[in-house]
Amino acid sequence: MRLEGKVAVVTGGAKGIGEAYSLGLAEEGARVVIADLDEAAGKKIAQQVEKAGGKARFVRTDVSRKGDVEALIAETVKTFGRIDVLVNNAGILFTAPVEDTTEAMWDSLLAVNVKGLFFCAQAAAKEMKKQKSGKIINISSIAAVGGQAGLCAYSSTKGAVLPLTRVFALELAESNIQVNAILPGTTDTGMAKAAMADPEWTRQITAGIPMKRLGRTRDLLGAVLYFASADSDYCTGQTLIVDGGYSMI
Amino acid sequence: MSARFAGRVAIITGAAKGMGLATAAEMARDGAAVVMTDIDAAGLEEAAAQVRSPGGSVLTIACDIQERKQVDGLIQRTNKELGRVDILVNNAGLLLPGTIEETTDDIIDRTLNINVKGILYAIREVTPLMKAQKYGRIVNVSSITGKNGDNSTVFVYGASKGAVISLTRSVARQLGPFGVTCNAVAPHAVMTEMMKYWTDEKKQKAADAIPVRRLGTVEDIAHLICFLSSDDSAFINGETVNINGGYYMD
Repeated sequence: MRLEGKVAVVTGGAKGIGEAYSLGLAEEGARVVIADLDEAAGKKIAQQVEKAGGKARFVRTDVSRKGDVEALIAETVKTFGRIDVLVNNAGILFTAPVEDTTEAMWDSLLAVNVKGLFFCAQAAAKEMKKQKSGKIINISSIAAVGGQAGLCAYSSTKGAVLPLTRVFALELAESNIQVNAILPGTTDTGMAKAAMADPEWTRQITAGIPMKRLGRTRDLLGAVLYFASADSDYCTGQTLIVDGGYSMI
Repeated sequence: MSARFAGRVAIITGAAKGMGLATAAEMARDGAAVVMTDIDAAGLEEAAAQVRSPGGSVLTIACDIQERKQVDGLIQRTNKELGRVDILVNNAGLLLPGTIEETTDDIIDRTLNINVKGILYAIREVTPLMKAQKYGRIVNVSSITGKNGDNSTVFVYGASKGAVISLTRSVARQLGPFGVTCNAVAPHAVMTEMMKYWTDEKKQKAADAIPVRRLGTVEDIAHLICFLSSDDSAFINGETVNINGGYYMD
């Protein structure tokens, strides 16, 4: 129970890896606010947490809307009195070669993956400064540090998270707020899970991964829990790659 | 306190004091059977008593990691008496202050022998064991100087810590397929005996230059080493993680 008494907000916390973060933080004793577009999924996760004896709320949030973000943090503080951990996980992905990458794709990717992430961190930091403590965990991607065809705009937005993380860390260091980024590699969820049915695809994908497997949600949760707990109080401004050794950059 | 290391056997080198002792204490607290090793046999026993006192399980084996046969003996005796080696923390290291001109042949030899060769010997010896177990966690102590150089320690120190970063990656590549991860930690200034040559003024200046305005504690580093030794880091491999209060970000 590393997070007893703590309050955590997870954006994109209703599905996929975000769901694992929501449930995992709750298992460690945190009261959790699940922020997501998907109301049905979000409420379901909140109920799951409460059924297991924890405390959770769902707040419907479009992180690309500043008003939604401010309402999310306000609701968190109103319900639970504080915010100790923000997991900036909400993100979208488009795959397209550069010649087919449209302005609409750019606008959406920037709005969610960069601006949305920024405004969530900004709003959370405001409250954390009053508390003189807090943890902001930005979910980037190995796409930020490696090149992959078809992911130009997406990778650029994930790359933006790195300097963002560093500057937040520097500016908030004296307020005892640590800000770090996690860069996941390929994980066995979502689209990858479906593709894993093809053994040739799996073989090709894992060929470059020393651990010879895809990441699991619990692998990423483990990293989030380190950054969410007091154990990482001296670690800030850092980028932690969780990819089985694929990138090594 | 948790049981995350229950059933695990961990070897920590340079465990008589500083980061090694703090790491041994935290692992033992969380259920590991720890093997504490150091060249300083007397200091080692004193340190072991500290770890045993709250109930930790400790085996002490004095060892000079510059001596290949002693390193082999350390690993083999651990395996024989405790049945396995799950975690290897390569923490023992030598740091000396000095300019380039003051870096003698003897300093070069000892620094490389302890900080690099000792690690190579230990990893080579645990490799067949960890491969057979299909499980292992190797955590090496590097340093910010391994990435960034510095201007107060003998320049062979940074070179040795840079070597640690590279060997961490080779080991990660070669042992990853067997369920063994190899990572490193890169601290900046940590309050240990190794830094005892720093004046109070130098320590204050260093703290002022760190975003969180304090030097690291041995516990700060131990927490990270323990994270990288646990099941929570099963997919982290080949990484050198900075732990420096925001002083250096890469």
